[in-house]
Amino acid sequence: MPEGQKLQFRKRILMFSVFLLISVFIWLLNALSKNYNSVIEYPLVYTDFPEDRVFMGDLPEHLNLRINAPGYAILRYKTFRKPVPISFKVSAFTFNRPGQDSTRAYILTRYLIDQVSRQLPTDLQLLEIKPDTLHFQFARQITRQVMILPDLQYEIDKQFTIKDGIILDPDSVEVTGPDLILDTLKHVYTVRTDIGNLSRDFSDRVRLKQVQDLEYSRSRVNCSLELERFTEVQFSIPVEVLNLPDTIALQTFPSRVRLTCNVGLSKYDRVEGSLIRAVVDYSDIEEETRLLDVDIQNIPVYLLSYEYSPKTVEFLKSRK
Amino acid sequence: MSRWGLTGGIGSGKSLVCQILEKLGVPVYYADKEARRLMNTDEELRHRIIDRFGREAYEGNGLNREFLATQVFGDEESLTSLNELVHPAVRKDFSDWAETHREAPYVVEEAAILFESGADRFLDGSILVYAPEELRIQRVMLRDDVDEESVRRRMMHQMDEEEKKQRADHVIYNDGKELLLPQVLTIHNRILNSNR
Repeated sequence: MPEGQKLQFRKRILMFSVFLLISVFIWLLNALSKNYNSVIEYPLVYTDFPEDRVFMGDLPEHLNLRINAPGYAILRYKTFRKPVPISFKVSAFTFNRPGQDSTRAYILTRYLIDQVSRQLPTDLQLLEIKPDTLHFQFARQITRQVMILPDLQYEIDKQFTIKDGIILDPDSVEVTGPDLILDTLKHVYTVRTDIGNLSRDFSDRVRLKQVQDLEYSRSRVNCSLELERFTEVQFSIPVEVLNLPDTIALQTFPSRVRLTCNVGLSKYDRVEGSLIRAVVDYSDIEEETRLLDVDIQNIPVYLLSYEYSPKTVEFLKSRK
Repeated sequence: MSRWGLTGGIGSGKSLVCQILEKLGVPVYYADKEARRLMNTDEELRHRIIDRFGREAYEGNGLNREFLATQVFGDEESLTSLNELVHPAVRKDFSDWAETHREAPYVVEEAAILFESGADRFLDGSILVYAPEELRIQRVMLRDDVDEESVRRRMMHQMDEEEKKQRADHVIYNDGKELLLPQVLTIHNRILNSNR
């Protein structure tokens, strides 16, 4: 293309661009002067909760406001305005309580329209607030003594056992919090603590595991455990027959089972084999039954582990 | 009335079979237990033991088992002579006992060393309770709370189980695989039928 034609083409492009820009500007002025419906987010802070109650659950951190305003007002608001959060005084509102339930309440947000409108620029007309309802879940604040349970991870050297269990001092803690939580709280646990492989007595302070919305009267307790050696004991336990009809005699073979168990030395004198029961159940017998399973019952808690033999017995059944 | 011997290695389950037989109404004579009783109560046997092993064989009114054990342990000749004193006394006692059970179809003498003592020669038949050696060792270790070595030491003085199987008229397998009761009932019925 010759040089003169090129220059002519550039002039035309420039002219076209200038008029295009003027057209867009005029169109924008025209568009922004019109009114539009739009949704804007408005931050919300809650204050002044009732003193005798504890608030539970989550509330929306902002309200969605549906507004009607000229385009330029919406643009200005969204671009430059950093809205001051609406301060929502919870106790200032009369709560609606579903079914006279004093722990729950709700507020219809349309009653906030006046308060919110005052905080908006005058050229923004507030049409609607979403959500239309704010739900509040309250609980009574109570205090209760709750047992503490240890959550320790450990291994113990062979030949040793824990003498009297894991001892916590104190063994309970005063807990304050919503009745909804405290009523169902059975125990407070210590923070899981790995104390490794034990071959000697252990003692340390351990932290209590926090539960959301609850406060403890102390954050740590003393935790200790004493080790002792254990020994093996054996019992010969007679086999009892459960559910035996009066008209039937049943003899098991063998008639006794041998029970072998481990017990800590401090409990050795306390071991009483006569409380332990070895039972078979007559009602387990069917036509083809030749062996009955032996079940061991009433094992004292201080017996660490047990093994018994035989696990099944043969039997002779006869009429009395 | 017939007389049967019942034997088996240590831990084979002789006592359990005897329990079943007693429940079936069969009188059972426990030779080892009665031998211990006779050594304390049979005056003639007592004198013979004192003659052979000395006054230390008894302390007070009872047998000095510890002393006798040290005398016969590892000494085959002493063990044989003690057995030669005790076994005839047991044999006679069993015979007297059996006479008191004449109404029974048959009686059983339980003895750990039935074949070794020759007692089987005076009986109408013999029953062996058999269990594999390893299983017997496990049972005795659990029952008596002893180690494997001491169980094996006690087994050394008993006849080989395979040889006993050859000599026994009936074998009851108490190996944990076969049920005991049906085997005992079968042998019990055979003996009853053979008596008719």
